[in-house]
Amino acid sequence: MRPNKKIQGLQFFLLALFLLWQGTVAWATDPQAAMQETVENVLEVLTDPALAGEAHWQERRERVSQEVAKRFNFTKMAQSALARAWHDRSAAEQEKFVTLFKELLKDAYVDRLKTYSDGNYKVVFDKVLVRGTRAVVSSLVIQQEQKISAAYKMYQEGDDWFVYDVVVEGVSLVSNYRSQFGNIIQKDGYEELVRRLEKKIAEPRNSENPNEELS
Amino acid sequence: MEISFTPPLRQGLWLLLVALTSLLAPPSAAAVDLEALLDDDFGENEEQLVFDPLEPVNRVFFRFNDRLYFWVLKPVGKVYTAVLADEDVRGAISAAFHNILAPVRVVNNLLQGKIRQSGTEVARFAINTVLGAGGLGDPAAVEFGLAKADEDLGQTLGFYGLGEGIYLCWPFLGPSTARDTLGMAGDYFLNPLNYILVNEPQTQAGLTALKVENTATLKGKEYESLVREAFDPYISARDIYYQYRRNLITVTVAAEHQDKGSKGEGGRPQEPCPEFYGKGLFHNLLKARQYQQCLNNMGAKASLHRTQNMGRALYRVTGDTRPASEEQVAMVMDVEE
Repeated sequence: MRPNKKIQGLQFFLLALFLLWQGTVAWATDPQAAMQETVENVLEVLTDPALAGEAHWQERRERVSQEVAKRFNFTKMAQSALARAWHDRSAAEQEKFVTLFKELLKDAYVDRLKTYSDGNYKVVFDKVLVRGTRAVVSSLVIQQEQKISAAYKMYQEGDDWFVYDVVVEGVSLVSNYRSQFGNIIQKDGYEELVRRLEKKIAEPRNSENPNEELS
Repeated sequence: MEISFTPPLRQGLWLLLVALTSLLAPPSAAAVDLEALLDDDFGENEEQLVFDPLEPVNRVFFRFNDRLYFWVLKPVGKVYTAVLADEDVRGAISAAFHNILAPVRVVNNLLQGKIRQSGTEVARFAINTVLGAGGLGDPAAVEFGLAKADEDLGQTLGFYGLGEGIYLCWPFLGPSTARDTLGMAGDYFLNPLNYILVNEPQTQAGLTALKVENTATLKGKEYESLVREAFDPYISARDIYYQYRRNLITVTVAAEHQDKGSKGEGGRPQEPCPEFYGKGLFHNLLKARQYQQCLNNMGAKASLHRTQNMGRALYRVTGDTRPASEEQVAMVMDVEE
């Protein structure tokens, strides 16, 4: 007995839809593809000829920050930087801390990306490791003979992946802040940490004497 | 620095060395141990991993080095870079200093059982000394794909499980640990300059000064941004030193683990993981990793945390540990010691 043509057609349609749906989900849940997209978007803004030059730097800076904010979860980064001390804070304190931490990172790192505006480098994504809802996406920034390894720690939320730490040449950014924050909290308390964060953010960039803390 | 060869010479050398280098070229190893990065749990279980009882003294020396940089090296560097304006030239000087220390890397690679990498270092030294004008250029990397790598006795000692001991910040030399200081002392005897210039202390001192100044002009910006962005530059530098050194050792251990893992694959059937005595505490990172792997193979989400006891590294594997029979525990204790 031949199966009904209409039913066969419907089956085919459903199968195609299912495969298509699977395909898009697989794309959305791939941490490497997600990270690659963000890096490409950032580089596009940085090397955009329409925005070239010092005059447009503020605009480029804003747009880079927007791209980064889509992929990076600053709440998780801030929580991770405080580690166990995070739980001692009230919801309002946590919220304020996240805002300060985000501002700090923006100040410190977006300006560093300026050197990548010349497009004289290559970013290669070489490896990805996934375990459950955690992933590590590793990349190499290649500039002439120099290779710098940059790995992104990511976690899954819903269908998408978000960055909560950057590891350059084996040195984790969040861990580095954690060691300093832990030390300040232990010695002078949390309020002092907030005060120091506010002071750091208020500091003018590219100051000639960056050495106040030591003197 | 651009180093060119006449085509026939280049071709001849290429033919001569291509077989050798293809044998020696190491598999492209990840510079970072990604597996270890997966174990992050937003810092919840992170412990104080630094043993710094000499902090007050170390801070004095850190400040000394900081002053040395800002008051001496940086101003002198302005003159130095005015003379040697080309960054490639300063890069070449740095490469030559790296090249002459090849014996240190060859020996330490051998000590860690990295036969291939040690061969690569020999080939790099030969190629760069002959074709790279005494190591000023790096044709080994450019022409032959033999990547530059670092190896020292401190890493070797760490690879064999020696803990870092106390943190030390040396004047002139900067961040170190008791173990890495011991390593530096050992590596001193593998530095050819200490034999060649044994009767010329002035030349030696001059070369050391050149090396320090040259490094300062090349890496100064990195140090300045560290100081600028840090809340406490001393703590930040200390943390970076620990993270960087630990990663170098972990990468070697992970590669070793992978080697052993691939050899043992398909052999024994999966057995339940024995519960290690001491709640999964290890002194040996390799053993800790194997245990973690075993638990994960069983479907348990095991993670590895680094901790320490009086400056000696300890690794704790936590996860869904299964009860083991006495026989299995005995077997494990046998393997451990």
